[in-house]
Amino acid sequence: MSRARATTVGLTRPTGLSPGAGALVGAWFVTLAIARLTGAAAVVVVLGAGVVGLVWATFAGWFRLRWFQLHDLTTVTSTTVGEPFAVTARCPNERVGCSDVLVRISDRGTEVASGRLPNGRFAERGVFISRGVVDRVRVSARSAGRPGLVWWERRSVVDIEPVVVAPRPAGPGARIEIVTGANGGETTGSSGSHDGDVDGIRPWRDGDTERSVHWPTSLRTGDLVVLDHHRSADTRWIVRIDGDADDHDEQAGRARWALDEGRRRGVRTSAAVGAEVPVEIADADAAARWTATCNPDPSATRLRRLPRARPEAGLPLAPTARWATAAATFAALTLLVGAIGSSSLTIALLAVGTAVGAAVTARVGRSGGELPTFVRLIVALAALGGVAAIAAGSGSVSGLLAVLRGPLPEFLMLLVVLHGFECTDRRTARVALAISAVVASYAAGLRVDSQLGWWLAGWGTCFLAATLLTAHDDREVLGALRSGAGIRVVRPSAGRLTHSAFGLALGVLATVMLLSVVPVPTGPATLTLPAFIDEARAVDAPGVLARTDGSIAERGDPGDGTRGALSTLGGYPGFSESLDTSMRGDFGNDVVMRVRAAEPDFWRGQTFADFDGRFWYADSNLGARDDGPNIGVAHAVGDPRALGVASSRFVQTYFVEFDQPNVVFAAYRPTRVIFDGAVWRRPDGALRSDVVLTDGAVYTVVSERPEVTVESLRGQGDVAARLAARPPDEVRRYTEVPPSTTQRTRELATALAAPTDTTYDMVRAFESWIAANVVYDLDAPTPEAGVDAVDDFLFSSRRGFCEQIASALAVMLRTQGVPARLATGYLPGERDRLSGVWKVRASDAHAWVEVWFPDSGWQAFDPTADVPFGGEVDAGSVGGELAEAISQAAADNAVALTGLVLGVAVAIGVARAARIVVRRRRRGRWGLLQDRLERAAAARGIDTICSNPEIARRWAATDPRHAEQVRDLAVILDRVTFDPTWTDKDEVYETAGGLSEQLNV
Amino acid sequence: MSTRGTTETGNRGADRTSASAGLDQADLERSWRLGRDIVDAVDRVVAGQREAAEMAAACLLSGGHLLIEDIPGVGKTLLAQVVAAAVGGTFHRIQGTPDLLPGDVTGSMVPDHDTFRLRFRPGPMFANVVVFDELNRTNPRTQSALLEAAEEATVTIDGTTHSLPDPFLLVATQNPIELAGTYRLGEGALDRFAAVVTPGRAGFDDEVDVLTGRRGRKLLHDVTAVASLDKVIAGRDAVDRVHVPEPVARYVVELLEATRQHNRVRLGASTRGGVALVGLARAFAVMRGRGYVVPDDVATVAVPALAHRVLVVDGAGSTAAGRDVVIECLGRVRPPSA
Repeated sequence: MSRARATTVGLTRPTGLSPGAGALVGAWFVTLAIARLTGAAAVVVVLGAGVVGLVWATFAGWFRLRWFQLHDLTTVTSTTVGEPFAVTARCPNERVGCSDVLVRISDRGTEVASGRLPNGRFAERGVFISRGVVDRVRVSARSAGRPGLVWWERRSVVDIEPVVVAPRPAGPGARIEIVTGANGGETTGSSGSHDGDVDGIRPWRDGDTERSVHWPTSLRTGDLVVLDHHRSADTRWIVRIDGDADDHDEQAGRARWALDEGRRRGVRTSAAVGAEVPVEIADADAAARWTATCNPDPSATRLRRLPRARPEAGLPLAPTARWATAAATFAALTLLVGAIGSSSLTIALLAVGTAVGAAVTARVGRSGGELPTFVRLIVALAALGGVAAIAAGSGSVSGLLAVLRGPLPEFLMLLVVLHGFECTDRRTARVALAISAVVASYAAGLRVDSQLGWWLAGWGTCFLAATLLTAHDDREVLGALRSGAGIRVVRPSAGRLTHSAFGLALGVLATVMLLSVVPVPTGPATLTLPAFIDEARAVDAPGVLARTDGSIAERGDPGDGTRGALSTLGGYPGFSESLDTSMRGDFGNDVVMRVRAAEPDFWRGQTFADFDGRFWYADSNLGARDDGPNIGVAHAVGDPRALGVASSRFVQTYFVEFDQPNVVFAAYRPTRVIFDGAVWRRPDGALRSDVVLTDGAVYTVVSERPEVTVESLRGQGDVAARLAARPPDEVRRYTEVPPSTTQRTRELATALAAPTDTTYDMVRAFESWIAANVVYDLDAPTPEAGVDAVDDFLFSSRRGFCEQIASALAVMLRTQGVPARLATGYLPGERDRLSGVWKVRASDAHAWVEVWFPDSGWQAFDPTADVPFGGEVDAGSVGGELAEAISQAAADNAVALTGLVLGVAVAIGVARAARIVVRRRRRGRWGLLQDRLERAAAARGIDTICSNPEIARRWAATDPRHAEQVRDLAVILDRVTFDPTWTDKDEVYETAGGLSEQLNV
Repeated sequence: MSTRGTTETGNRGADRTSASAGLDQADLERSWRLGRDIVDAVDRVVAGQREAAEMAAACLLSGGHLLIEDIPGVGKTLLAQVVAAAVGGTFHRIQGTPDLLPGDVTGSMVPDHDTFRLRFRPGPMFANVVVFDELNRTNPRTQSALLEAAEEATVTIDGTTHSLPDPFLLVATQNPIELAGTYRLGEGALDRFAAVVTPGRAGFDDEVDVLTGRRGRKLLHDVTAVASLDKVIAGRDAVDRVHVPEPVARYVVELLEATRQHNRVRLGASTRGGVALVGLARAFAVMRGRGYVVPDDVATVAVPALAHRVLVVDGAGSTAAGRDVVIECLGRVRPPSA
């Protein structure tokens, strides 16, 4: 036996990527491109998780090796070239998890033994392939940790007790000198000897010559009888090796054979190199040692660099890993199906395709064979058919986004399913995972619904599980466990599960922290991309405001006075040429559109310039037509040529989910519209398209948003005074007060405005008066005909909704000479944290006041809602939003999550209970007592691999108090187990149970 | 020392209350008493060699032979003499020397002056207990003749076969320290011994007992036969009928396999080693008052029964290395349990 003595440890350095790991890195970059293209926050989340995962995958192996130690490297002391022997070692810190570590022991550039350490024991067959006395080996430990992607290696040179590696006996052919002498004892009876004194006669043996036949006796007896001679006992064989022969190993092998043969024949043997003095070779060990070291081969003794072993080369893909990969693929595909709105038939086809692919390849992977030809044929036919179907369906597709939402994902899905049939080894499994990551990111870029988070979480779980399972070779390890003598299989314990849960939580935390420095994407990098109208419904008279069905709403149409629903009225009444302030629709809570934007803003659709006391009228100028898709929006009335305050680009992408009129919503102040059609720019800044915005329409608006703050607005002083100082222009139109405005309205405004210095403060004063004196009420009474609606609202009913409140504010401002107008559109809505969209509901339809400021243009004010000032709202970070999304999801689904956790806990409990029951049934009551005794002994540090009485003796040595009980228990247990005449008695069991109780287990 | 008596009470009580199917309670009782009496007799005379005495008794009851490997002067010969006296058998002692010839041991044909014919004169082997001192000092020819005779329990001279007395126990000794001028026992020779023990020096108090005459050779004359040879034969039959449960037999085979796969071992224990091991374990089971073998019996006799049968790579002629290997194997193989 040979044990390690000293060790020189090298640095831990990366040694390579697992096959397919590059695909995952590539997928990360593709995801990055998708994030840039779409500006979707969810894709950024995937990117962040990917960074954390890749960092973890990169350094997991390093960490594993950091704590890895190898002790008690034991080999043989003497062996022959090519003859296997046992190599053992152990890892003292088994808890670190050394089963991931591959150990390779090499000698002079050739591998001696390699393998893993299931349960901390290295037990492999080793073989030396060059002779010599080996007193140091190179031990390299390699690991990629749990993720198994980046391999690290630590090499060390270990001094071991010298191992004599003798050459393989190479048969006859060595040069043997036979030396005889008579200086010792004598022997008789060997055939063929003629020298020495005659000792007697004996029968003929093979090898005798006729010279020694004693003819007289032979003739008398009829048999051949020969003379027996004394022979010198001191015959020596001197085996000489040529000092400068070509093949040293061959020579040494022949010498070993000759030395062994000599001893077999009973002669003394010596050996020498060239003309050197022969060395006496006493026994087989000496022969082995001499031939191992004689005449060294200069090329064999040099320490060569070991050829780099490819990590994971030839390792099989476990079926569990294959199925987990399929699950990740299917989750990603379902995500994509949800994004492009395919039918449930598609999902079913994808499920079947993925499952069949997984089943076929899992079987192939297990047997290590190839895909059967008929399966290949079917796959090829399916591929051709799928491509043909996609090509046939894509004839009518126009526009980039249409391609991105139609044929491209379909083709992608087809490819992914087909790749499932190729996925037979670890490399392809990782490539499949990488593809699933790309598909999931693609879907996350397209999807804006609120289910996205759950789907992504599901896909991420499958992905993680598949990655871990792919790296873990359970079958191999189990096989090694079964073959290794004396090693017991240790199941993954609850501690390891806790470990994994802790690691997962740490990963999520790291992702959130990393993403907390990443701002929410401001918009897609390529602005031409997101514009798409599924079902173009042309407007009858282009440029005119239309209803959702394309018909034209007449100017001054008073409506029927009822408060209809969105569908019956053809949209919010604010999206028309005229607005009856006393009318309000009842819209319900449907989501009408989702707006992907980093920050909240009012999504403005329409402005109204003229007020007659009850009705607001939009500017009748239809403006100029611009054809899409990339439309620059010119300055509108009241927009300053040069902003007096800082501004920022603000990109919004609108995903329409409910048919809308041809109003193109935009945050103030739009500068560019990406639209799949033509847009009319009205002088007041409102945008109208030539088609109705139907469900599924997507367009993007880039706004140059003035970063106004309270200070910047206040700094613009008295707007009325500054307007008076300017030459007359179109803005003055917005100071016209309707003739029906009552004196008390003017007086109220003047009284409220008197103590304020700036227009901003004046607006705030009006707002606070309204907030204090008016009740927001959707069921406010309709004013009588001919009555000034503002007066009625402010002084009579004092109840109203946003249109009336906003109208009152606008009129009050106009009485003070401040340009103000009514704007309609949508409130920002509710933020979906993960997909980064604002969920806008029908009930978010709103009317507010826009006040003109000379330096920053139109500024929204609203007594009933908070107006997000451009300079005061900040886009959050992706991480912050993710954290909020997680906590919000946890809060929203507290019951379900608690139920899930409880369910899992109950399931684990039931599984454990079942295991206990099964174990009880299998072990029997005496078996359980035996286990209890062994546990008690193990708890006292006693090695329990011994007989029961021996446990008792060891117990007595460590804990004499309970020695008697243990001894009696041991005797009872042995008797129960081995006595053939034993009949089970309850009282004996109770006695034994009582004894075991006393052991305080 | 009586072979009959009332049932003993004590720690072994629970251990002893049953007998196997082939072995009735009375037989077991008698055999247990026999073994205990022999061991007690030895222990009364030879200081601090109780384990060796137990092994000698076990060898006697299982029909095996014992090799005592120890330094001179620890009471090896005395032990064998007491065993012989205790069973009321004959005792011969042979001193191993290089010039000892097979005939000197087995006996030879000598001319009879009365009849003028050759008559067989039995050698010193013809005794119930034979002590062969310093077995490794005699030449291999005599060694093999002796061991073969011991194994077969017969001696063949000039075509006539002579049976050795029954029971026959060979107790050989060898000195592991002084190796100059010795003939190392080959593997085959060693394999014929059921057990090898190295009792070592007696304890402090035991040594004081010897020096003050409370124990030692002087008491040999006082040893009375605790049993007859017939009882020993009956005891041996009882031992043969001891039940070996299937799991215990598997345990023995696993132990043998472990010695064969041990990395220091050039040649593991033979099947004959397993047979001897089971025989000794049976004897120990009887001596502990049981009609069935438990794993502890196997573990107790594993070292003496197997240590000399494993050929360790750098064993240097002593069984000490083999002892370590067997202990290591015992620590690796999990014995069967409930």
